[in-house]
Order: sequence, then structure tokens, then C-alpha cells
Amino acid sequence: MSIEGVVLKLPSFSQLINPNRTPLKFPFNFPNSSSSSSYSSATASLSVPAAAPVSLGHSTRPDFEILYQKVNNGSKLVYLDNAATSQKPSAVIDAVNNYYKSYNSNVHRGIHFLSAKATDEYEMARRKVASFVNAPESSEIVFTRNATEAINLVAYSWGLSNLKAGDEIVVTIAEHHSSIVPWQILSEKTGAVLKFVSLTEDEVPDIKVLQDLLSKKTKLVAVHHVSNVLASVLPIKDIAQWAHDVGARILVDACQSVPHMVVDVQDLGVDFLVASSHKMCGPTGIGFLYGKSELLTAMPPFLGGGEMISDVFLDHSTYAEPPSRFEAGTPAIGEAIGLGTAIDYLSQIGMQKIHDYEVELANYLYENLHAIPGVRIYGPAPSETVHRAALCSFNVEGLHPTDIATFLDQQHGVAIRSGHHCAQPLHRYLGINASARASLYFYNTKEDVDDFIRALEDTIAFFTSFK
Amino acid sequence: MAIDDDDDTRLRLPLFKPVNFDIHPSSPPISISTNPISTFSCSTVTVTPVTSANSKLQTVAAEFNSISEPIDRVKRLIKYASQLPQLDDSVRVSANRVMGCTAQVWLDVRMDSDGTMRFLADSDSEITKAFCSCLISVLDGAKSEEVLGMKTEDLGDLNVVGLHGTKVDSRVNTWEKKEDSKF
Repeated sequence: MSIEGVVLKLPSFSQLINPNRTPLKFPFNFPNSSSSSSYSSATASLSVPAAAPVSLGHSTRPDFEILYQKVNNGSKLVYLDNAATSQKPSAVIDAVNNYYKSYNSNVHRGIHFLSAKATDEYEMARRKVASFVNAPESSEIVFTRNATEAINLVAYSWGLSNLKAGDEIVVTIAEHHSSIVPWQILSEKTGAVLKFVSLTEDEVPDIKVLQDLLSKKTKLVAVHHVSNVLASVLPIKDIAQWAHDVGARILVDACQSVPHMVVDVQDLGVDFLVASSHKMCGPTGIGFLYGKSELLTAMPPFLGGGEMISDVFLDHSTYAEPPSRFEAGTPAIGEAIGLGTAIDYLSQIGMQKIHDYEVELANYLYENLHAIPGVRIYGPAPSETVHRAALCSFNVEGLHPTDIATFLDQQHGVAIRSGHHCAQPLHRYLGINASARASLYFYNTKEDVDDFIRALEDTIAFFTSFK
Repeated sequence: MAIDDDDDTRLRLPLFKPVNFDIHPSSPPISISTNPISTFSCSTVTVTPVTSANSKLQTVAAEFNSISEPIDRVKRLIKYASQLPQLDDSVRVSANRVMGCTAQVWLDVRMDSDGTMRFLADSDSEITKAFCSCLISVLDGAKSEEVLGMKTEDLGDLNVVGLHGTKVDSRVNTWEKKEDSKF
């Protein structure tokens, strides 16, 4: 059990004593601090307890009011369903509130004060997204409703005008339905063929099989970055290279990666990348598509209407440049601004720091879950070379995941998910109907994992007692 | 469909017609042929001395209402699950599936010659099986009109079983849809 860290506001304290001194770093230990040479002896006699390093989970938790509630039979909430959606820090909620309270107005038209301000904030949010994924231009960021809509945009706009009968689309069987169904629809419309990459024995997509599937016929490779079931991470940079070598484009579903680690579209070399705001501390109703500008410029519109036009006549219309071309109608302005604030919040913590903490949590979760008899976790085992995302999809022998999730919730306030997690082909491949899934985010702590494990053991004992 | 007298000794009810239903839109319209001798119209259904589905519903609801500890409700629920007879593999087929996201449910519906409904159900989830068992204890033996007349809201009383009502609601919803599609 880790110790609750004590947060000492040392910088301000030291500034009180000596305003010109640079703030001390954690951990701070009396009397061995090497940087206290210019302190008067009076400070050394203060009995401040030695501060243990505060985990990211503990330090960020206060920003998420929703986590401090009791549910059902009075158990405290233990929220472990972050792969489904994340919680929002006060800053994001306040930003959306503030938009509606202070400057709500339609964007891109209107000359008045409120409209100008709303437009500024909305376009600033777009720049924040661009910068967050290191897109070269903010015009390469198209705001959509979510990642699913972004994928559909590519399927209908890019896909319909670039694919013909006999062309191939390569995906993995572990894809989320949002990156299977649009391609199926596209295949039906164009006569293109969908090819699926199976898993290795370690339950990760087999990149050798992927390489073998690539050919001159391949026009698109659509893969996840991080799997929402297997917790595995794909080598996107390599896959992008292989795709380009055969003249294909690559689309990356980054829903489970952008919220949790540094994602650099230029470094990865991807053509399209999609993500959803609600999985990264932002509001629902907004997501984005990153697309290379030469691709977006050549793509026909997806939805038609206002905003995406240049001139409208009776018999035809001309269209705007990207990204506006793909943003028909009044956008989710407040939500986009909320997403921008979420990005500010995450950036302030630092994505590398978030990732490093989550690797720790991921290992802790896996080890403790794995240790319970009868538990079967899907995806690769973590190792020096294999980093799992901080989630585990699992089954317990003899128990249905729905029963597990129900009891965990009802008796222990632990929120996990049960079902197929929008990955039916994957579940069929693994030979199961459903699985339970616990997924963490940077505001979870090891104590959350401990609570989950204890609750799961109790759940298993309960159902076993009836057999 | 010909009446099959020697079929199904499970329920030991003579002269009943297995009613198969499936939810694929392309399936032919489903018809039920009852024993032509016992025809009746809805308006002439007589009040039977057996307990109505509604009162059985109230009994189950009251039973769960009287249990104060949620964990005891779950235990009672699981006991309901164990009351369901083991279903034959021949019944656990996709034609009998009630579609739902997480747990699999198989439902076998039969109507015997006097319009009494008989239900068999199974699930791979204990809790879902228990809900099925509760529903069956209420609906089994009821007249077809009574079953059809029940709305999801009526069965809302079963939400007191102490777990999230949505499970019962959505399950019941699909059951009702199946009923509607049959008649």
C-alpha cells in the first residue's frame, strides 16, 4: 500500500525565507537537503515531515470532483472505465460553462464582439490540437463529432473517390467497429476488398502477416495505435513506412493513444489520424481528423451545408478549402474550446509523465490481476520490450463478465465494463462472447487497483459459493 | 405446419405447437395454428381461477422489496436462477436468441391449445438467468392475451430486485417485441 504523499508548498515557503532563491525540488528531507546551504538554522528546526513523492494519481485527483462520490450501497466510486470515456477536470467544465456564460456566439460569421471572440477561441482550440499532435498546419485538423465520424469522413470522402473494384484495404481483426464497419460499407460501394490481419500467439496483431498482406493492390491500411481490448501497441512508424512502400495510405485510430502518450503525426508519418475528445479529458461531441494537407485538398466534401461552401448557386456550389470544407453546419463550439482546455491541462502535466505513470499502473494492474486464480487476461504479457496500456480485458473461469461487472458495481462501487467493447470480431477470434475490462487513466491510483482486486476476489468468492 | 403430437415430452402437454421466431426481417411471416377445435376470440376469454400474471408480478416485487440488504437480494436472485430447469442444447440455438449486448439469452416460447403460454429460458450469465427466471415465474402459465397485454412499464415493478432496472427493462423490451412479432 503506498503512502499518501504529503504535499508541501515548498517553493512558496522558500520564497518566504529567501525570495531570490530558486524553488526546492521534491523529495525534501530534513536535515539532509543539499540545497539548504543558504537557509538560516531557524528553518532547519521546523518539524515538517519528509515528503514522499506524490503519485500523479493523487496529485491530479482533486481536479476531478466526480470521483469523490458514493454509489449504490454507499461504496465509494472506483472508476475504472476510462477506455470507454474519461472524466473531465474542473478546468474543462469551467471552460465550457464560461463559453456559454460569457461569449457564446456563432463562429466564422458575424462581425460583432461575441462572434469574434468565439471564433478566436474556436480556432485557438484547433491550433492547440494541431500542436498537441505536432501537425505542421492547423488547417490539417478537421473537427468532427468524434473519431467514428472522422473515419467515416475518410471512408466517404477519400475512399469513394480513390478506391475501385479489386483495391484492398488492410485492417486488423482487433479493430474497433468504427474502423471496420465504414470500410465494409466502402467496400460494398466500390468493390474494394477488406483484408484482416490475425493475431500472434502473444495476442498482438501479427505484423509479419500484415507485411505479407501488403501489395500493389493495397490502397489503405487502417490500424489502431493502442488496442482497447488487448492493450497492445502497434509499431505505427514501421507500418506507415511499409504502407507507403506499396503506395498505400495509412489511417491510424489513435483513440487509446493520444490521451495517454506523446503522439507525433510527423514522426509517425501517418496520412490520417483520428481521436475523440471525450477519451482525453475533453467533452463529448467533438473529435478530430488529422489529414495531410495534400490529401485533404484533393478530397470532395463529406457533409454539405453552410460553412463548407465558397459560393452557392442554384445549379451548383463551390466548396471551401480544408478544414472548413469538411465542417458543415454550426460546429460544437463550446466543446471544441473544452477540448482545447483539456489539451492545456494534459500538456501542463506532460504527456511523457502521464505515459510513464500509466506504464507503472499498467504493470501493477496486470500483476495483481494475473495473480488471481482463474483469471485470464487478453493481449500480450508485459515485459521489458512490451509495454501494455493501462487496461486489462479479462475473464474469470466459470463466471460471466456481466455478473462480475454487476456485482463489482453493486457491492463495491467499482465501475468496469463488460461486453465486447465494440470489438466483436476480436472476441469471436479469441473464442469468447464477452469480456470484462478495467481501464485506468492518470487520475487513478494504486489504491484504486487494490480496491478493484479486493472487490474482484470477493465477487469470485460470492459466485463460487453457489456452485 | 403439421401438429406434432409425439414431439417434446419435456412439457408433457399434448396438442401444442412449438412457436419459432426469429428476428431476421427476411423470415416469412410467422403464423400460429392452434387446435382448430378450441377457437375463441379475445372478447370471450373467461376469468380463470389461476393467479393472474399481474398478481404474480406483485408477489415477486413484494418479495424483493422485503429484503433490505442488496447483497441478500442478489442471493435471492441467484436462487431464482437455480430454479430454471436445465435447457436442452437443442433449445440453445441462434433462432431462440434474444439479442442483447453482453449476455446470451435463449428463449423458448410455446402456446398450448387453450392459449396458455409456456416459457423456457437460459443464459450464460447467472444474473440474467435469474431475471429470466423471475419473468417466467410471472408469465408462465398466463394466457397469451395477458402476456401480450403486459407492457414494459408494468414489469418495471421487477426493478426492485435491487439491481439496475435497465437490465430487466431492456430484456423485457426485447421479449415483448418478440411476442408482438409472433402474433
